Amino acid sequence: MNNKAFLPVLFFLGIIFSLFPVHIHASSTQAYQDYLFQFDGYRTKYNNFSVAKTEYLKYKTLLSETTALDTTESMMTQRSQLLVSYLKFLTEKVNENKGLTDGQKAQFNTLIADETTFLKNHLTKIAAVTSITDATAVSKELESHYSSFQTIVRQVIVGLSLGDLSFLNNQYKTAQTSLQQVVLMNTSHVSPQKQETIDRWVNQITNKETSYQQAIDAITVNNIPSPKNVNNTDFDGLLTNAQTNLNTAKKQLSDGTSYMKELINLLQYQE
Amino acid sequence: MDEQQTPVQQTPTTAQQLPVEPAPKRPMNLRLLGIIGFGVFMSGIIIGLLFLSWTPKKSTATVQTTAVSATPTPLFTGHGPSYIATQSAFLDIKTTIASISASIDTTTMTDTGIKPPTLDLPLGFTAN
Repeated sequence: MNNKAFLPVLFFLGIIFSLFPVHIHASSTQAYQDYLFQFDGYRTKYNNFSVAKTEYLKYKTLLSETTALDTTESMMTQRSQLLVSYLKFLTEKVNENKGLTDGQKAQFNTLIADETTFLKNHLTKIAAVTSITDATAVSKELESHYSSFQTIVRQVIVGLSLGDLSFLNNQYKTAQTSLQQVVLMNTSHVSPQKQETIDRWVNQITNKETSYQQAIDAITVNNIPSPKNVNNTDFDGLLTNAQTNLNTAKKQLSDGTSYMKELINLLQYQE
Repeated sequence: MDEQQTPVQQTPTTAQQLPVEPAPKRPMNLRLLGIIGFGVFMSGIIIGLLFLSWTPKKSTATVQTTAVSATPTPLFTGHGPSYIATQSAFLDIKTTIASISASIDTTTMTDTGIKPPTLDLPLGFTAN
């Protein structure tokens, strides 16, 4: 009787929700879509800029110079907006990351905010450009700053992966502790020989966690370069190297989890 | 008359007839033997047929008895579920480990989408 009385309410709620659909998207997904949109705009404006520049360099007419200046300003504005949208995407990724501490998030967000501030100032300068010479001078500010931008971006990217791994590692450690408690509960019910095997496997699971930590320490110490010590050409190599080490750390957790599964199977059945 | 009695004195002929007396009894015995033999033969056939007809029933009966008396074979001979296998703590940790394993598998360290855009920064107005 109560259920029947509740049905019209459910029906009514269903109609309400269908009339007002709620699209739940992660903020980083929306930010990424905006970044891709800005990237498309940048490609278009860069192509226009390239054509106008070629014509200006070829004909040197007033008309071609004006067109070149307009397209250069437009391209530079779009370029900065693209980078701002990318930083916004990174900010959302940092905020959504489950493994980073609040302190780490604040640290990364400060770095990103500094870059955003630089780009917004850069946009103001672009708006004030009146000649191709001005445009070239303003562009060079970004060019010289770009090493710092690249370093910070890669620090954040590696930091996000470290956060992901940290989240997994926390789960791993909790499972490890629980598993050890289960092993203690089971000690009086198994033979000394089997207990010896169980203890050895538990040690190997612990060793995997130690190996993971060593891999993480190596990334933290060696793979995040100082902005002052890195050239433009090193960035992709450094990121690839960091990602290789991140994968090594991840593999330790993966191996350790496989060991846990084996231990579970060992505990599950009698001798 | 004596001459006539002579053939009467031929008692040996009657005596000779004595062994002939059982002669008519032989067919009677043979008939009896034949009847008995036929009866035995027929009964043998009948018994044989009955035996053949009863044999399958006996075999199914034995199958039924073996089926009933059969004992189930354990899935893990000598490796049955342990004491801990049914404990809630054990079942919880088993689920947790499966969940962590799935999370590790889906986490990627080489997300290409997160890389920064590649830009040609210098404007290239070499004439300036």
